[in-house]
Amino acid sequence: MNKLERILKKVEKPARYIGGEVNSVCKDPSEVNVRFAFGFPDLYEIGMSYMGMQILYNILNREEGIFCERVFAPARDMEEEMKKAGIPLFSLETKTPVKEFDFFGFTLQYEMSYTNILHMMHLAGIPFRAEERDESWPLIIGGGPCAYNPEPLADFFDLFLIGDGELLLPEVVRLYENSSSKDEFLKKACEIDGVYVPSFYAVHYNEDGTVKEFEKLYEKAPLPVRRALIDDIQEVEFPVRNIVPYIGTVHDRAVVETFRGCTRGCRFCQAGMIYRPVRERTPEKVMELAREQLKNTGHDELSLLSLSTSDYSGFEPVVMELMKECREKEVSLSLPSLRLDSFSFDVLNEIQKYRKSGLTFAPEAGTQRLRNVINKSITEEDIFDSVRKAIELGWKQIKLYFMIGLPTETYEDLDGIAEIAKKILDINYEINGRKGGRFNVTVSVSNFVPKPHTPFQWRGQDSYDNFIEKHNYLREKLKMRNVTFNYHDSPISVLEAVFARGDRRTGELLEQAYRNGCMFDGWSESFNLRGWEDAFEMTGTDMKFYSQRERAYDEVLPWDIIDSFIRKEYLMAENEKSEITQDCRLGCTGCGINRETECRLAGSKKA
Amino acid sequence: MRYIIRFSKEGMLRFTSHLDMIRFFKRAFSRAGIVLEHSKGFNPHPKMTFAQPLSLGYTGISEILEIETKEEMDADVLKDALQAQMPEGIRITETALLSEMDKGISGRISEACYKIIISDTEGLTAEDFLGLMERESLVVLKKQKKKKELKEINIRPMIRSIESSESVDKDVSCREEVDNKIIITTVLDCGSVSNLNPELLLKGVSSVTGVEILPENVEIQRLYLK
Repeated sequence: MNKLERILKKVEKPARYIGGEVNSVCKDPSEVNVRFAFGFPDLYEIGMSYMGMQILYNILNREEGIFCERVFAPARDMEEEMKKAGIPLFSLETKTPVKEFDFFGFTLQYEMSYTNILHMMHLAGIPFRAEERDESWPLIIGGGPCAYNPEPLADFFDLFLIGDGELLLPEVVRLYENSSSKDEFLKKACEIDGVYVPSFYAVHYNEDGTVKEFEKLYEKAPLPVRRALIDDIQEVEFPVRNIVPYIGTVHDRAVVETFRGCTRGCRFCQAGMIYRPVRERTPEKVMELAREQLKNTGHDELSLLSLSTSDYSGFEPVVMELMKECREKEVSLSLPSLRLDSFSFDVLNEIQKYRKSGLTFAPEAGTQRLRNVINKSITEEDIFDSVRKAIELGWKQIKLYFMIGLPTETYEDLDGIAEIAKKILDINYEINGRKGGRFNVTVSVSNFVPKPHTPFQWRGQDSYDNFIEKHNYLREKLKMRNVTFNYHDSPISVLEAVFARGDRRTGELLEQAYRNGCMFDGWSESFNLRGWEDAFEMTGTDMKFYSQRERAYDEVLPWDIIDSFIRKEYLMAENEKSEITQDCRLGCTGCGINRETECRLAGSKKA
Repeated sequence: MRYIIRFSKEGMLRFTSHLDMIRFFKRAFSRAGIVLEHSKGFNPHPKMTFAQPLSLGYTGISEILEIETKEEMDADVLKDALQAQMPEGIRITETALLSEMDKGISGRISEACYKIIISDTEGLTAEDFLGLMERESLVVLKKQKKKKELKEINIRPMIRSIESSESVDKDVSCREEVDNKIIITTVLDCGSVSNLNPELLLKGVSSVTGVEILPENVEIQRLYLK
């Protein structure tokens, strides 16, 4: 029994660490030129639910001479055993120590995963700071949504990839293959759209702590750094041989991306801004991908992925066809992010025929006034008509998502949340009688975090004390039979706000927090508040400067170094507006992305 | 049509659980294009039964799975189609069509044979195991499924035989030559009527000898089900 097998006998869910899954790729390491370790900074069962990794894993492994393997964060029990046995962090496919790879690439999905990134580097035996690493170490790179403000990680990473990854990542890896030194590679790489090499810039600060300017340390480094954008996503490959996990994972199903981007323009939403413009796959392609995936994986669940499923222009025909084929194959169809109009209802009623799970609405704000401010165009009529129909069809579970701490929010808006919940209960009483039956409304409230590259990027986050007060207020107001109230812990929301709009100096805070024992911050059982509080004190970081401060329009923002192609004037104008800006499928609203690419779906829909 | 499938589960795959295996095989049949009959009712599931779950960490040489397909197919074709979907670590060793008489074979399992290999455990000998057969009773504390409390049970009646083996194991999981290696073959009650998990046997030996047996020093192989 070798070392690894011995410790696998002592840990929970050892199958997290064995690899060898159906459709996982195993190349002969001696026959490849570049070895890439794809790091997801959380447990296996979280990371395997992320489709982006499957997309890039497939893209890289299709390349001759490149071998991409996966690395996840080991659970604490495994970590302890690995340390005792002297086993450093290893890749899943070949069990190679990560420090032997050419690249260690992380996907930056969520600010609170940053401590796990440092943790995985530590377990791999890799020095944290880029300046401490010479050519013998892997290049540490990062991509994903948080790469649009990578500054908190700037001192630790060699390179960031911003924007669509399918063409950018292999191009960068190939460039590395053809470069004779790290320095040559970085200098050539920074000239590619989407590549940001933080060591080529210095950041200077004003007396008041705001950013004064970015200084180029290498004259050919671009300023700002342009994002990578794929004009037609059908030109890049979407995986049909998804890796099939052995153990249960959060999402465990066939997944097809129907389109990328969003046209709704909700003012709080970063994804809606950074994934523009909308680029669709044709219905034929979607069907083909679905069929191929089901054939190659044997999954019994299929999901369509996008930011707003019902906005897909081929939605009705594709769903009708898929429902038919899925029923024949005994595959269940999952359609998240549905707008609940009559067609969607017919569909949902059909696919949830035997066991109805909950119906979800995301009004985000309790009054129409506030919904207009955030540009969330769902009306009370929409909600209550749909709820009425749902209850008549037999649904017993309604879930509502809201945010608190939104710009211009008052307690009247919070009252609105309770009123919506109460009205839904009333509708149920009306239809199912006074007792109401087994009916439940779940109100889930999260704390608004202003995000970079959105209209609200200048706003201050609501204060920690206000969040607590508002949670208490809502708890009282929602003390009704058949209503469940959930909310998110405030400290994490504040930390999220610090890093979401953090500058390079927050990297010190991050490292100190890690050294204080902070990791797996997204898991409530691991969240170490004391460790974070101490880190702020030890580094002298002013939390409120990052989270609560309202920025001025003429301030240089740390993420201004990244060009998302969305005009700043557009974001400012949207921030000033308190009425709805239309869905740009109804007509262009001037965000500016059409200066860089063709916006095929602008004005494609009638009101 | 009903078929019985025998397979082995070895190597790293032994770290998957029984539930993982159910999930795995369900998908394997789907990929192989072998359409299984589904149960009727509100939550249809494919007609697939494992004779006896194999504990996490154990290898199995001759595990049994019973299935019901929508259409008839040649047993060898079924075997090849299924084998093509297997990763390293699972081998389909036999498939056969079940007649009406053989139906429910899984339910008639009554015993299982295990090979237990213990390494690096000082103070323990093969005789400690063989000696158990002389005893009238062997009481161990077993965790109750529902109540989660420990209950005393006498496992001696559930031990059918114990033998020691001199053969060095050629199994993938046991490459090193180590002194102090004890290899025991034991037949234990297995099935829905009476079932003894070999871990309890080890617990019994531990309590009789006072020697702690650590999980990382134990390798357990199920040789067959009968």
